[in-house]
Amino acid sequence: MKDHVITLPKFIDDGRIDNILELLNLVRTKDSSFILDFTEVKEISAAGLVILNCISDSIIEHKRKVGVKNLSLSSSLNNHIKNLFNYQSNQMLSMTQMAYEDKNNIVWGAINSLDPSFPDRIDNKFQNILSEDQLWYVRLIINELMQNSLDHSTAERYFFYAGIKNNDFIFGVCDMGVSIPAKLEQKYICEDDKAYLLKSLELGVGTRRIRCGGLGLNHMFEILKQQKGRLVIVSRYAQIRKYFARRKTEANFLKKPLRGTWCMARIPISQG
Amino acid sequence: MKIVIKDTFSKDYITREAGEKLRNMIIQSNEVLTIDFSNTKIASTSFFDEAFAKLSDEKIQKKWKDFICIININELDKKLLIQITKNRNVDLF
Repeated sequence: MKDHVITLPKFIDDGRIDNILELLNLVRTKDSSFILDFTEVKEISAAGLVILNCISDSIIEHKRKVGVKNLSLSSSLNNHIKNLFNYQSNQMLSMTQMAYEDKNNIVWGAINSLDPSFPDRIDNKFQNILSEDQLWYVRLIINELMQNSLDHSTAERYFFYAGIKNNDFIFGVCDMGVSIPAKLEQKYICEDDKAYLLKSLELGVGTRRIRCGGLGLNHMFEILKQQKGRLVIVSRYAQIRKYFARRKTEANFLKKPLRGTWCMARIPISQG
Repeated sequence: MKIVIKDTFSKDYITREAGEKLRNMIIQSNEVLTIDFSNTKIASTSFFDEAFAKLSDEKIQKKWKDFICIININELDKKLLIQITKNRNVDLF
C-alpha cells in the first residue's frame, strides 16, 4: 500500500491549517499509511502541539499507521513528536504521554472531566510574565472553554495549552468531539456553518432548554475586548477569527472540515 | 457555620456541579454562613451562576446578604460575582 506523504506547514499554529485538516480528513477516510513530513517545519507553537495531539488521537482512533520524516526541531520537541507518532499498540496515549512542557509552553489534556489544576499550573509557570489581572483573565477563558468542550462536544478527550509566542500569550482548548454547527443544528436552522459559528457567539444562544447560555462567553468577550486580544474558532466547515483590537470578525469556509472544535485565544503580554 | 472553599471544594471549584453543591449547602444551612475564598481564584461564571445567581430560583427567598458572609474573595472574582448575581436580583454584598 502506498504511503500518503503529508508535508506539514512551516509554522504549526492556529493559522494556515489547510494541510492539517486535509491530513485529518485523509486519516478518517483513507485506509492508508501516513508519513508526516516535517522538512519545512520551523516552529510549532503550543497551539500547534495540541493540534498534533488531535492528529495523534485521530490516527490511533482510525487504526492508521504513521511515520515521521525529517524532524529537525529542538531535541525535546523531536522526542516528544516521535513519541506522539510511535505507537506500539492501538491504545490511545495517556495524557501524560501527550503532555509537553518547555520554557515557553505548556500542553496538557483531560479525559471526561475538567482539570481545575491547569489554570494553577499556568499561574505558577507564567507569574513573572503576566500581570495578576491577566492571569485571572486567562483562567476565566480557559475555564470557560474547558467547560464548553466538556458540556457540548461530548468528546472524551480534549487538550489545552498555554504559551508565549512573540509578544503574545496564547492559550486555548481543542477537541475532536461534536462540532459547534452539529450541536446547534439540534435547535437552530442556519444557512451554513459560517452562520452557525456566528450564531454560537450570540448572547443567549445555546442548546440548553431551561436556562439560556452564553453567560460565560459574554464575559470572555469582554476580557478579550479589554485586552485587545484575538480568538480563533474552527469547527466543521468554518472558522471565525475575531480581532478584538480592530473590532473585526472574519468568517471563512474551510476546504476540509474539522470534526471537532478548536478555540484558540491570544492576548498581548502587558507586564510582568 | 463556615465553608472554606479551598478545603470543601479542593478538586473542583469551577463546574456547575460544584456550584450546585455549594448552593445546596447554602439552602440547607439554618444559620449565617461564612464562605471563605482564601487562597483561591475561581474565575468561573458557571460556578458562581450555579452557586449564587440561582438562589433567585428558590421558593423561599431570603435577604441573602444578611445570611451569607463572603470573605477573602479575590477582587476580580468579587467583581464577576457581583455582575452575575446583579441580573438575578441576588444581593450578596
